[in-house]
Amino acid sequence: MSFIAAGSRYLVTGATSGIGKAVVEALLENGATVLGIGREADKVAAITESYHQTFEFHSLDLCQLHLIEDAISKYIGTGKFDGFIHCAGRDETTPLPMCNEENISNLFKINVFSGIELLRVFSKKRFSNDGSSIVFISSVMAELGHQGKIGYCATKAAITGVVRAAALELSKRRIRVNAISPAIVVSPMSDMLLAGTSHDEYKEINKMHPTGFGTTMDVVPMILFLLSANSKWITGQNIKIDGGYSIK
Amino acid sequence: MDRSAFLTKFTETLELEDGLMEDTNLKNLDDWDSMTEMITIAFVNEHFKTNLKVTDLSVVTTVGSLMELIGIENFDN
Repeated sequence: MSFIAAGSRYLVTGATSGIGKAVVEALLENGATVLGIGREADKVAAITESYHQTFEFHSLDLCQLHLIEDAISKYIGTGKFDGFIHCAGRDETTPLPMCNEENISNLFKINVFSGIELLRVFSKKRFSNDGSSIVFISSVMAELGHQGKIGYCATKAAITGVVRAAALELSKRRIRVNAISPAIVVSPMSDMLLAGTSHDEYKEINKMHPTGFGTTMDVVPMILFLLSANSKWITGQNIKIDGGYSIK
Repeated sequence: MDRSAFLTKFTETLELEDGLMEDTNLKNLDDWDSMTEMITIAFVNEHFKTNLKVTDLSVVTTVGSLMELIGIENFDN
């Protein structure tokens, strides 16, 4: 059963890899139209070719907040959006002695500030339909701590605050805003994280996930559900999808 | 980076009472643990834009061997 209405229109950031790319593919397979935002167009060349009528890619560094509205304005001529999924983000190890204003602000810029700016632009009446749905990608790290992850944990916790406040602000137009919080999902980002670990550490991290590491397809169905009308009474929530990581 | 500046900054970052020398064995430090390794990786990344992995540190013994891993060409004097 498909949750997504054919012909509905979505904006997806972080569209070139991991969860973002998997969401783009699932939406297109369900007949939706998608504007993907990311930095490297060649990573989605195959999708652009297969879905040239329903997929458009816009290359943009989301840290350039002032360029976001213009990028979306250019696309909107063909119709308003029904949903927005903010998958762009970065994981960085910043142990306390190495935290400084620059590296923490940079992390906030991509993980939080770009999301707020996208939310501001997306929620304008000329860009989105009433009843639209927005999904942010937080992390189990929003609630659980991890050594060396002060910046990452802080940004992911901030997202859950954004989601709750925005859900109330946008409820008048029945626009819903939710977050999902995955644990480790096998992706280029997690590959970077795990590449440096020893065999024993890898086994230890894997053991923290009672049902093992996740895949993007363990997460995408929940995103599609949250985007669809089937979840129209769910807003302002943060849903953990973590293979049991957070209950240990 | 100047070798002595590197030693001073690294000593400060690890909050060590005795200054690090190039022949100091990092793994003999009382506080050397997984957290110190993480700080070392972040320190090297911050100052040399080199992304070390935890597994890379397995070959490191002395501060000098860490400097070799970073690349001696990155140090003056």
